[in-house]
Amino acid sequence: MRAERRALDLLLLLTVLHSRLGWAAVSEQDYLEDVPIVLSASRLAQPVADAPGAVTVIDRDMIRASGFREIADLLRLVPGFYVGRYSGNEPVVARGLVDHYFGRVQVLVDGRSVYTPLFGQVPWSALPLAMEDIERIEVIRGPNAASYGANSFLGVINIITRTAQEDRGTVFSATTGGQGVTDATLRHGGVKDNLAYRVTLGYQRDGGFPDRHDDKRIGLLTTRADYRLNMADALQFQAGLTFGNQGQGFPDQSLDPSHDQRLTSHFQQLRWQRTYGPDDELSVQFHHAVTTSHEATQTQQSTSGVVTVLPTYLELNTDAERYDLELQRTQHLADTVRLAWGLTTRVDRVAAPLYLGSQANFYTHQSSLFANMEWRATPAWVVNVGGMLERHSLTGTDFSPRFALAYHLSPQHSLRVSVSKALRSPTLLEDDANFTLYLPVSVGGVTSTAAVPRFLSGGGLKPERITSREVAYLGQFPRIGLSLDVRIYKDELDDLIDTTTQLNAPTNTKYYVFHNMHSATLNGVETQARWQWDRLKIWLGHSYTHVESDYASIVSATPIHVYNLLAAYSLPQAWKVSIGVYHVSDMTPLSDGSTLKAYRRTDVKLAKEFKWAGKPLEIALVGQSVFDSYREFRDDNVFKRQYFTTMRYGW
Amino acid sequence: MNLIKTILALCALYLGTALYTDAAAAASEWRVLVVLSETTAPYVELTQVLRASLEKKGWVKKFQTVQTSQLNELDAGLPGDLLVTVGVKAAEAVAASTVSVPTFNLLIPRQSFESLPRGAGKNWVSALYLDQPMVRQLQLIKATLPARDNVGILLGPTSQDRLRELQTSARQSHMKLKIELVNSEEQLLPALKKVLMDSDVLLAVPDPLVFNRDTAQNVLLTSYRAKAPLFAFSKSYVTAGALAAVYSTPAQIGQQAGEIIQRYLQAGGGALPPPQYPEYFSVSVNYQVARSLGLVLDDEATLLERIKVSAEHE
Repeated sequence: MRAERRALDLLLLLTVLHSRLGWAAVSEQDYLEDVPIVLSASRLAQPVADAPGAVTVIDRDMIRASGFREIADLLRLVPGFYVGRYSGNEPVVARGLVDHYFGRVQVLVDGRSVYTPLFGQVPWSALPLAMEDIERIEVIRGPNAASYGANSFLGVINIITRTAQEDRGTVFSATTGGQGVTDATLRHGGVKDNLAYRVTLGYQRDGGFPDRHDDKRIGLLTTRADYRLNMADALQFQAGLTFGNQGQGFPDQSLDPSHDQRLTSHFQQLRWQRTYGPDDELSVQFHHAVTTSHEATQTQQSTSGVVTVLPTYLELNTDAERYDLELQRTQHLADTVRLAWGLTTRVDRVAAPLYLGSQANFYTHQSSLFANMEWRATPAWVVNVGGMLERHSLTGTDFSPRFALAYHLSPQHSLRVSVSKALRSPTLLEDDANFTLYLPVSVGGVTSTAAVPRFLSGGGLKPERITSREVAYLGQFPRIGLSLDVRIYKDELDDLIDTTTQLNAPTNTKYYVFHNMHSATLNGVETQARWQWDRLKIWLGHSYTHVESDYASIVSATPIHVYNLLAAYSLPQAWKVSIGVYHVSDMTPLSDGSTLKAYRRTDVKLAKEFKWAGKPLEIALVGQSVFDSYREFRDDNVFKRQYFTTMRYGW
Repeated sequence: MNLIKTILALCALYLGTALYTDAAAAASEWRVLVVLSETTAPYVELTQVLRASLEKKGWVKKFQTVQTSQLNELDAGLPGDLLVTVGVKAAEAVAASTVSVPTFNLLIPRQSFESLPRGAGKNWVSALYLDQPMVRQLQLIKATLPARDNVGILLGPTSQDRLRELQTSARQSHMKLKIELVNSEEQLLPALKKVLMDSDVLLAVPDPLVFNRDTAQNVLLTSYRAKAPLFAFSKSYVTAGALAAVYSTPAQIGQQAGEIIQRYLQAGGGALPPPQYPEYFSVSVNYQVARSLGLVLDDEATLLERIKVSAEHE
């Protein structure tokens, strides 16, 4: 008590000294002046209980506690999501129907879709995005085209980065550890009048899995500037560049030997936003993105029977470019009715000579009109009605509607029922594949060229369709610091695209043809809970999925049980300890995967914050899969126990 | 656009004043001169409400308004028995002049009033403050989020004078304060982050260094991210993203000033009542921000009533 009093007196003395220095005095203007609207609808996170679908939010606390050094790994924290790796540099993220290609999950970074038009994949390791700059990730566990646009099929991963205003000064972090892990990030941010800016420089290197040629060495440079024009208008500019090399191929495969893939991608994004009121805004966003990949391999000679395939030079280059323009408007139609609507138009250009069998550029156009209306009929009942009308140059016009009804039993407990439909347009490869290798062969000393088809399209593909129904309960138990979210759903999928296997008689080799083939029904229960008790925080997720399909491989490509548990505890003297446990039951992924046994992986992180020259310095030790080795996606991807240390210093 | 509105409103005010004063001429001999810092909407609105309140009972013979800049032109022949200033600039101009007429300062924060130069006519000067007593601001936090009693506060060079008042009020309201001092723009963000570590709400105390158009974004975003919502001192901050604010509108100030001045005139002049905080005030809540933070709040009228009731109990 006495010490407190003394501290107060000292504080008072200091204040008296300072107030003599003659600063501008307070006037009525401080009370009367207008302030620009900061927390408008687009900035505010929608409360999970009000969202028209199931949402998991990964915030910075979780990111830090997890100890993950790669963005894709963060999705392990979402109930029902499978994260694995086709190779050390090619993460696979799926919500059911685990597949190397053709992710059925949409991924947005600040509203920019990063889903590639050729394969429909997300280039996770080459995203121009540093983990350090992520504010939060909102994951929608189900279709939501009305709010997130086309291809929001089995889920939406919406990554939101921090505004430039939030990070001033310089931060340096570095990580080093087993399997050749060497990461470094340097970020500098500042504010000058109405302009706030940030520049991030990053480098990531690791050796991939022990027995594979799958290392990566990727550098990135991103920048963001937020400029306030006046009280209502603001401009935001973002740009990014990633470049680097990663290992591909297999030492023992003559047509796909070990080689390097050179990746370059860059984007520019400009957004103008006018804020009329807290819940009334208009924005126009334009972005341009380019992703290129170069792979050149010298195939090896191989002999089968009398046929010898001679060495040749193969180039698997792809070059994709996207222009995207979006207008969005959020407004109040009445006190209880809010409408969000918008228009998007997009052009994709892809050149992939080997995959598409032509040197030409392939263009796809996509335009959509979307709207979502939220009506708070009474304090207890909230109705959400929305839809997206889409025109795609490959598949024509389609409509994806959605309806959700929430009932708040009390402020702490609510129920939700929803039905939504969405579709996934075929990727360019699915629609136009014409992948044939022309190989020099020697038969009994006579050399000729053999055409060996690999992937072809059946043509005239329709989009895949989903109808999702759910009943959910969301509850908060503030007295014990618990929040709980349980959802029972039924997802009916139709026209799923897959390949039929055909035999090419002349070479006696198999090739694959894309068609709309299968249907599947996923019935499941997803549970997530957050519990905070004093200095302890626990995040828990579990999913149970039961799949029925006309195709057995789809059934086995969805793990029945997936759970994750992350616990973080703050100890005295700025020590922090966290543990993550991730379990996936046995499964066999589609395309290029192997039958995998159930695994449980345990990660631990121990961190301590020091002061160095008066500024915060954090040193952390992270252990991944500390108890057991397990296999990710393929038999040869053995994830062994791995440790690394991280330091982070800000000034 | 706003300028035109203001000019029109001012014209109407002048015209109305002229017409009214004739009608009420017989009732009283009092002449009130209002000195305006500015002629924008809040000043004009306050003056209109004040005029209507004084002229309703017919106590005032002449109600005249001038701008601060016109004060010098009037000098010796000051046409009033009572001077009312609206805004700090007007109060300062009158305080610096040789005027020795009883002066009532309106639309002035307590701190500005207390730092006015005082001449011989000290007893002739009083005020109705624009700002709310600290206790009332803490009561708003209590009324809105009863479970949150760790209040973070940033004090800049100007607002550091209020430290003592804050501590007294916190003791009275059984709340814990976590205070950080900010003496330069560079210190703002580190101080904010530090204060938010141990606070579950942030209370804004007006200070040009801490709370202005340029810092609003930072303070609002950072406190929102830390899930420690901001309690502000004006409606514009609530629109911008603060959770709630307690404040007096210019009309409420005008209304109360009218009542105080009426009582003063009824008593036949003499000493002005001591300076005081406003009795009429409003509460605004940003329900979108509340919902986003998972907070369920009562309606504004209920919160206002709760503050009034708790004030009576103290």
